[in-house]
Amino acid sequence: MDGHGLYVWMSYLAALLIIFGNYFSVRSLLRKEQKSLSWSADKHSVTDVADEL
Amino acid sequence: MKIKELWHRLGSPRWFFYYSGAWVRFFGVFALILLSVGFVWGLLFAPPEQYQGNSFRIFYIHLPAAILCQSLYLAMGVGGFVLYVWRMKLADILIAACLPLGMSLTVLALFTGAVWGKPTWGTWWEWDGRIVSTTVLLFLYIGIFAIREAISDSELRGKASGLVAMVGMINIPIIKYSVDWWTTLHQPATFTLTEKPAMPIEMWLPALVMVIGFYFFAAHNVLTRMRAEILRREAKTAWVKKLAVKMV
Repeated sequence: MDGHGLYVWMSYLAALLIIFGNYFSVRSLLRKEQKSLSWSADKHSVTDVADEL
Repeated sequence: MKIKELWHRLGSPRWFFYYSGAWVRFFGVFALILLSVGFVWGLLFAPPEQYQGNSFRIFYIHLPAAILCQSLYLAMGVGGFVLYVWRMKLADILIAACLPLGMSLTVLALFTGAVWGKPTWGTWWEWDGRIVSTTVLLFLYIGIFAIREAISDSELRGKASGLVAMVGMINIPIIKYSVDWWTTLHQPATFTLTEKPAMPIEMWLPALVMVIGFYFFAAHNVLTRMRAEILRREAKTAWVKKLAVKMV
């Protein structure tokens, strides 16, 4: 790339880092919320069964 | 559906959550396709520029990052306005959702600009109108982030960050017109509404693909963050509990 290869690769790698970083951070955020909600729903269903007993 | 009805529906986190699900998938799929094509095209197949050579390929990252960081800030400013006028919870959620990606794209725009400036202008940094005003944009993003981290009361946090977002919108036209108002190293606008692009189609088409790809990625990212935030804020409501039961 006529001596400019390092600059070009640095830019493209930085872009990939930003894209993947944002994608995975938001995915883990959504999964964390879903996990917390399903744990909470599970806890309530166990509590309901315990109350009936 | 009438516009007024749609507007009021948008104020409902529940309606927004259900409605946005399909859109998230749509934006995600097209972002993946367009960004993959754009990355390969810009890096390997687009022609080098006459004077700058292959360092011009940085343009295919720098341009969409610069455009998007401004668009996301505008979205935050509009969110601030909606929050103040209509007091919609979703407006505060929008501000929170745009913040991380907006900040990271501003850093990317400044970084790629510096990396491109070194072989082109012989310097990593110049006190140029556009570079300085984009750095101010980064400080605005950081300021809003700091406000949101510092204030625990949700209503006050929303209003404070919304106010800064609205006031900071004045920086967006400064970034855009800085190349026209001041003597600058930075090149003038590549694309305008009234004139043909100042480059051949083999060079501007991959740029357009990247810009659209980045916009789709931003839409996917922001909508997903909004959905996660809605689940967190509405966790005690009946509709979220019902949704949680389905997940078990």
